[in-house]
Amino acid sequence: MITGAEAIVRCLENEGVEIIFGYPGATIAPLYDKLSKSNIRHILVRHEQHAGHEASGYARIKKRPGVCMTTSGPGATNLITALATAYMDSVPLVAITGQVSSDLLGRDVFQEADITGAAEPFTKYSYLVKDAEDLPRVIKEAFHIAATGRPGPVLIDIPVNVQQQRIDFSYAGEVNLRGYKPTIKGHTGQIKRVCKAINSAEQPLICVGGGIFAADGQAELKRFADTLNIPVVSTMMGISALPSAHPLFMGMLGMHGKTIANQAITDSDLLIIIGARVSDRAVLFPAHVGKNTKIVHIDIDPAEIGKNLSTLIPVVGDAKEILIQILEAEPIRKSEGWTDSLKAKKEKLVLDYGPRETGINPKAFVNQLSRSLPDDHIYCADVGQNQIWSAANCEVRTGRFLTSGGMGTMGYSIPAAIGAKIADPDKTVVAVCGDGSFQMQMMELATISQHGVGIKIVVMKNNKLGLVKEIQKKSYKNNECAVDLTGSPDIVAIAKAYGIPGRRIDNMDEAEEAIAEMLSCQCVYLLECVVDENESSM
Amino acid sequence: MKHVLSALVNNSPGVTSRVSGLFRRRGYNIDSFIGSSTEDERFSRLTIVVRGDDVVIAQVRSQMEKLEDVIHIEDIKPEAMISKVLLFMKVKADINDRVGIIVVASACNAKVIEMSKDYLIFEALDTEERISEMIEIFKPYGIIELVKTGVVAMKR
Repeated sequence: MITGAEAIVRCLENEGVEIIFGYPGATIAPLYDKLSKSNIRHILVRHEQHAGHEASGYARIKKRPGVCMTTSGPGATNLITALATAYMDSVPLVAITGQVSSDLLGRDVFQEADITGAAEPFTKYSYLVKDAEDLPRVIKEAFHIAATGRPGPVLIDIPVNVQQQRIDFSYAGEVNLRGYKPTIKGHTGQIKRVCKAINSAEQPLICVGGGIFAADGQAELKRFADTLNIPVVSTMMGISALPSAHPLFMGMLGMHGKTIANQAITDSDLLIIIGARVSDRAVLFPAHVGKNTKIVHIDIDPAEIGKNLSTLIPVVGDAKEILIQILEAEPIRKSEGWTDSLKAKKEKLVLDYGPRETGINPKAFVNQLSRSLPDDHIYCADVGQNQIWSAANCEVRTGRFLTSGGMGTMGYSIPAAIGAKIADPDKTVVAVCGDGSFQMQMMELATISQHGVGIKIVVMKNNKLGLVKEIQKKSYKNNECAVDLTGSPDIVAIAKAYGIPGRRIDNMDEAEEAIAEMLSCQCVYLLECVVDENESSM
Repeated sequence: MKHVLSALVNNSPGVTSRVSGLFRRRGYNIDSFIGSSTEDERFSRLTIVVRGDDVVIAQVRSQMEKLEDVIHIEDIKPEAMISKVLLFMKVKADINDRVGIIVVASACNAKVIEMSKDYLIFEALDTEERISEMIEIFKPYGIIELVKTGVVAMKR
């Protein structure tokens, strides 16, 4: 006989879990007690939300579910933003929360929160375990559900008495869920239709989203685009699916995207969407697309197809599998003029990288930064102007670009970078944020110091909530309100207080040397870049 | 102990979800849950069968009464209530069994509403207890599929 807590630890070990991001509390204490005797490493965060984001950064790089763990009540509710962020970006997470004793459920006792209810819209699935005998099955199912099909967060809420309950333990058998059988292979009839559409297209275009990473299909995407010589645009979540400098890559589309990418969408006669939701930010006027454009939509989630754009040829399944299937069917491109003309337009793009009167040029800076980093670097962008600057100007090569695309959660970059660095310690990982978002996550500097996580942090400081300020300028007659960040601390001094070296620069002349200093430092480093408050995001 | 709660609620989106969420959150066991429109389009009627001792039921009532959308709620006593459940049942019935099954069905007050060479579909409208008995009676013949409503009830 073992306790429920021991059973949880054994099941997690059996799932190959090496690390958990968490924050303890009374109702999760039995599990922490047993966890301390296991080989699973625990990272103590400084706020539960960041436990979720760190697990998310870890999951996206490790390509397996990230695990986070908190106590009941506020510990659990603090996790919700991270669950929602992961849900919107289809990141596999397993979140374990403590809960009050099952016989007290529903009585509003101390630190009771109905977390399975509260997180319902933001989880792929959730469990409230009332009998420890169910734990092996529930944990096995949770990992299966989180990682397969369209990935997403799964929540397991475990009352404290269930963690203490003694059971006869045995591992769960194969997962068999009657209502859950994701489609992987594309329907052969649909593959044929896609090939026919490609064969007859004059101006085909690929639009790739974050689904390509979930399918681990970057290599197949590159082969698909190269073989057929089809230009590619990406959503924000699709950045780094192809290297930025790839000749066929026309950049990010959407509200904050490249004109050439948006124009290409309008002009194309065949749009092949791969693993993307095509949200309002990606395609501003869905009604304008599709007049002369045939749409092929490849997605593992059938509910995404036709949700935002009317689709001619839906193909449900895993993006990687389907791209292989299409290539095997050997479609033929006839006309190449379109690709050549787009390539020529891309060559002529004028970059706004000139010097500024005050502060650095953030666009030039992020470009220079990414070019100075190793080819396989991981770039974590936060939310706000810094995200737009980064998405449009950072040069990704063989690494990854991580950001909160769907939810737009401020305070994502540093915890995501921590998770990514822990997942792959050999990679150079950089987090780029603004001074607004920095203050939503600066408590994690302690996590970084405590666990020796060697990430690089860049803070773009303009003393404003820049993106909101831009909206106020454009749509609210320049009525600037509640966007002034006066009162913010000296960021370099804050870093120093956590034992983190750093420096501040306020012009581009210093940029090269400062970046070199940051990269030569073996450990964590923070670089504060002063930006003029009137610098625009585009 | 089973209780039949009849609640008059606002007819607006999300009310069903709020009431059922309350039951889930507080761990009350629902036997059945029916919502329907009423003679007044502003209101809906929820008929909920819930199990629990008097303390639990008192809690259920007070918690439900707290919901802004709940206008009136009544715990209808069995002796003061008329209540029915509607059942559709598809039963295996080849040529040898068919007549026997129809005889049993008519003894149960069930009506044949569709017939094929392999099965029969019955309709029955009766009290919850009698519907449960009927299902037991038909199990040996082979029930292919069944569907029933929850309890609808009205105070005499």
